Amino acid sequence: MRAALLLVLVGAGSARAGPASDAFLESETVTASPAQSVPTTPGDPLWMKAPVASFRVSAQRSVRLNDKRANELLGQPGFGEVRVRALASATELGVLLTWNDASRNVLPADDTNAYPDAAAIEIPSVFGAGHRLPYVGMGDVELPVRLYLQRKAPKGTQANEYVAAGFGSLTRVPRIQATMAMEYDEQLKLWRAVFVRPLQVEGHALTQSSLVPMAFAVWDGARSERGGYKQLSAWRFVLLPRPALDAAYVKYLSWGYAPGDLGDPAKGRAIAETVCIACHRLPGKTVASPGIAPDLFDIGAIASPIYLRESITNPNGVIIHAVNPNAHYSKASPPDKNGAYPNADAYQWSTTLPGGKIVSKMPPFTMFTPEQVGDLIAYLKTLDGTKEPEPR
Amino acid sequence: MSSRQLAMVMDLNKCIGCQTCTVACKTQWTNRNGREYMYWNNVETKPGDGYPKKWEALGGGFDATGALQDGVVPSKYSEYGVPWDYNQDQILQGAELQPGTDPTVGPNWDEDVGAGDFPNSYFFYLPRICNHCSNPGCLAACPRSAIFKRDQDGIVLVDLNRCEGYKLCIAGCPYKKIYFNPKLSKSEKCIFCFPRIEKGLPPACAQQCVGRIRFVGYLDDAEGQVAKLVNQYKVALPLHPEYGTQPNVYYVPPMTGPRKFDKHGKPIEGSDRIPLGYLESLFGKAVHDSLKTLHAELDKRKAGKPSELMELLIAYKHSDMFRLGTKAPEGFKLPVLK
Repeated sequence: MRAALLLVLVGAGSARAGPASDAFLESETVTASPAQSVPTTPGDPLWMKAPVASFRVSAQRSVRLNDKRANELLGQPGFGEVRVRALASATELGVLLTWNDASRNVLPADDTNAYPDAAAIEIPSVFGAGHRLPYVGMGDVELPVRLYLQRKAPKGTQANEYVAAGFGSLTRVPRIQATMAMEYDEQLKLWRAVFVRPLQVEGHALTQSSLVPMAFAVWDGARSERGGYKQLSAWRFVLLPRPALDAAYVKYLSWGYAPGDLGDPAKGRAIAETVCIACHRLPGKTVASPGIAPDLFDIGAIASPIYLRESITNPNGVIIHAVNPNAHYSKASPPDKNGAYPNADAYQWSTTLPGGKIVSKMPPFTMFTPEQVGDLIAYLKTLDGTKEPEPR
Repeated sequence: MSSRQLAMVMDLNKCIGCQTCTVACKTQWTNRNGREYMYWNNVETKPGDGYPKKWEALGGGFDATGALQDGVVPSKYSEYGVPWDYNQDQILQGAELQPGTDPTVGPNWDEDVGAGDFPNSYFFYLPRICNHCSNPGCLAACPRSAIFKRDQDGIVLVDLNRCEGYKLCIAGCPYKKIYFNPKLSKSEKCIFCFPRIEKGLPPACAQQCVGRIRFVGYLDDAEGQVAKLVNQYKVALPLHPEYGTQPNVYYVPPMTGPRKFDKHGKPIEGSDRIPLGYLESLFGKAVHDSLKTLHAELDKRKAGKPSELMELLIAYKHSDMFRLGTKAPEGFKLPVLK
């Protein structure tokens, strides 16, 4: 990876804005190797010519869903990482994901509570200098995402293309323009999944920036994973051979990667455990009612420092609707004429002001000093979903 | 959540467990395309495990504050039962009648087993369809808003274009009346025969009911028999109201079970084999008032006095039992049960 990365950096020396950029590029990116054409089979030897990056994936713990068995399995160790390779031709970008999995699970032909192994990639609709990152959990109200999902079927894969603008909004795109395939290697006990799509499709160009934000998710059927039960990565970045490295974007994204950007996690923890716990659940600190706000058990594994900084200081910039607005009704409110109770407002994460503007329920924490924000993010980055599992 | 609410009342005193409703539903909706194992309508023996097996222990529904509870997605192999065939084509050649597989569970596995010791054992039949709840657990659990209540009648339906087959609805429904179709990878459920409703016809299960136990109508139609049984006489009660979903299928509880025998084998006057506590565990505390009313009205009729309630439960005419072509009245409000 290093060698390929340096090649690109030599070509775009001006992007080397300092240690933050270097650290960011080193840990968060995978370089797409130029190729005449991108192979669509997972076993093609050409993939091995591309440099590999290993990205952490962790079980989704931000929102709690209601399958008892899947919830019981949440605390068990997951895949840990996906390894990513990328190839880019003049017209296409392809990524190969590989991850270790002890068992192969396919879409059940018959049973009612079995689940397939699956993989997906997510790309923001707009990205590049001047654009923030969408919420990693399927985008947000302002910034939709495109998703490519394949589930292993008894024969081939069930592949679909989606758009989404936040939890619950995933919607199939009728015309699939990507090519997807996944194969299980019985000997090595690992999956290889390929996603290939044109650089340019209607309404979505991957060449908006040389750094294509991409998040990865994998599902383990053996853990009853499907939908929101998944193992996901933070936003990572595929470095395209063209255009030239987007220096302004790198500068923006790499905040928090230089020593000194973030502060003291112990101080941050003290802030989180006095302020944030009112609504968010933290490892070992679960006073807030589940569902009032996203849980932060794994926030460090799925959110970048810049995303956290924006979310803390300007929550209205990232509106996310509750994963399931109907999961809590208000028994205290009078039922309607047919006996139906209204949804409990406390569990809605956003509210619509008179006039139609949607605002986040989270107030902007502008009272924090930049140092306090740095401390807080330093602490949040330590929350990778592995510590002190949620008490039952 | 909806402008009006259709409801069904089932009089358990008249259910003979003939499964005609089950067959009417199956031939209409679930004998094909991955639905073969599903029974949108089933009739189970109570006390008993029911269908799917031990569904009352599989979670879902809401707690007392209105928060959705975790639930289990049942397995076709251990909880629903895999449909099987018999070797009927071979028995004329001398073979013994045998199932094609070795079944271990099925939709009517513990039929007529019941509870209690002979000769005071007891059971009754409980027909179950989707309750088309006012606060549906399935709808609450779906993270994709793929489940909705129709505004005009409150029927709960799955938008199959939005369903991604995550099965959280199945975990969320405390009655386990929404099913996963493995062939389509989507969830499906009782649709209250809405294409029939739209033509002014009752659901097939109600139309075909031999015992004429089922009444269908809008809760706000004060003249309708459903509203009279539910709102006026308050003898028809939802199943497991403590699940918190506000079901819209109501049951007239069994009031005339057989009497107990004493040790000489003589029936004990005034006794009832079905324990009241068991009925309370199914229908809540309101079952006491319901039974009181039913017995009082029965006694009235026995004394030769008129009783609208008893006349109504005789179920003379389908046209009175099924009232579908009504308009919503002004100012209706569902009464709250104690």
